[in-house]
Amino acid sequence: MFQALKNFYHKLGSFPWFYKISGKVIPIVGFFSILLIVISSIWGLFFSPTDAVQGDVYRIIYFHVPAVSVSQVIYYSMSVAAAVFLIWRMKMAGVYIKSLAPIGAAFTFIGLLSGAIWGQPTWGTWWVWDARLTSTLVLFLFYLAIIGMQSTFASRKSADTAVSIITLVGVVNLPIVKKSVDWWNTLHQPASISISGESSISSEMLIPLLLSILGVYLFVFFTGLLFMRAEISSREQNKEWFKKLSSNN
Amino acid sequence: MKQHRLKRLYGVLFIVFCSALAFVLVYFAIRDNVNLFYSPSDLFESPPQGRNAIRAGGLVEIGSLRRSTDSLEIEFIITDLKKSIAVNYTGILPDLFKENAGVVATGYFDKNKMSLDAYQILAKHDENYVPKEVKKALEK
Amino acid sequence: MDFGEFNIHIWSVVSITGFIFLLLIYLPLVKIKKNESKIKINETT
Repeated sequence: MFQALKNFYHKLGSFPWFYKISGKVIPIVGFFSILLIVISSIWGLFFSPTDAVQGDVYRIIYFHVPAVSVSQVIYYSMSVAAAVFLIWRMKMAGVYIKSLAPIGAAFTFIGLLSGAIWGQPTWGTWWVWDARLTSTLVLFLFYLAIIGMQSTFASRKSADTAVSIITLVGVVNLPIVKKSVDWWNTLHQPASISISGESSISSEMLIPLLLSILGVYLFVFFTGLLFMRAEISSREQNKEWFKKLSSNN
Repeated sequence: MKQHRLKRLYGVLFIVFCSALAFVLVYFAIRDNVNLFYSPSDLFESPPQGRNAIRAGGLVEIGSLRRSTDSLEIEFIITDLKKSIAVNYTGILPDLFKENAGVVATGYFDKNKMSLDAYQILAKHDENYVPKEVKKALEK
Repeated sequence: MDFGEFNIHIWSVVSITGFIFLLLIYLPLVKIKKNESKIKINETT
């Protein structure tokens, strides 16, 4: 009895419920994320102190670190969704992976590009095949593969299944990205922010950096909801609930 | 958990396991090339064979930097505080290159003289970010 | 940073990041609009 009720709830609930709730949440999250990004950018660009060694070019950190950090977190969350999709066949998990992949790809791209633009004056080269840079490029290629695979299947279900498998294959790369700077000799420096120990970045620079990270995480929450809403609106456009929803407006 | 779901869970774990195994095998195949550069100690322990270009990395030893007065030629010593090798280079240096800072030099290694004939110098930035004013105050 | 001094590296990162952010908002919004309006056209015809 309980199980039947639960199944009924799942079937009836998920997509229409998500569509309704996300419509209310999106403007609020969007407003705060953009506000936070604007504040942290202005703080980081104009008010935080100049670095003693690198000069002003270090300010790229306020765009580079949030981007690469969130691109890894997005991938972890996508692989959890992939496992959920494969085990419980939850449709929403398929929507989640498809929607978050372009966002993850965009942030990995920002991370690679801003790193290259920073590396050019500081290291003396914009690219070097060290373990950190190469594994991040591999992460970017996994995102591209996930996006590219979406359109190669006739049915939505087989596409979601294949994409989930590819996502799980790529998750092994993430600890390599994270640990590469500790395990091997790389040109890329080790992490400056530490959760457990003391950060090797001065607090005047750290506060705007943490704000920008928070802003970007909120921004991903915001655009993630937007992309999922867009995906649901195209998957469900022939469903009764979706037609009703539009006629109410 | 229901039987069919448990089966799928094993499937998921199997995928991750196979992928991890693939990554580990690739790593074992290329493990000598994963490190971007050799430290001076590595070079003393097992000098590279052949005439291929190699990378050496470490700190620029304090007081070792010699600049030519009429050309862009420089000489310095890379050290890992245990062993050190001499480097010569002609060309433009990155902004962060200075004594007691990290450096990665690419070039041809001479086993007899334990020196590197570099054609590329990269500066290695460390993870420390310190404001200009704070550093000035610390040095006083 | 000094307001008067123009740092090409920083501003190229800022502008590219800003452009991608706008794209990430614009693209799904267009798709939602399109799908929601399709239904309305069906209803009126």
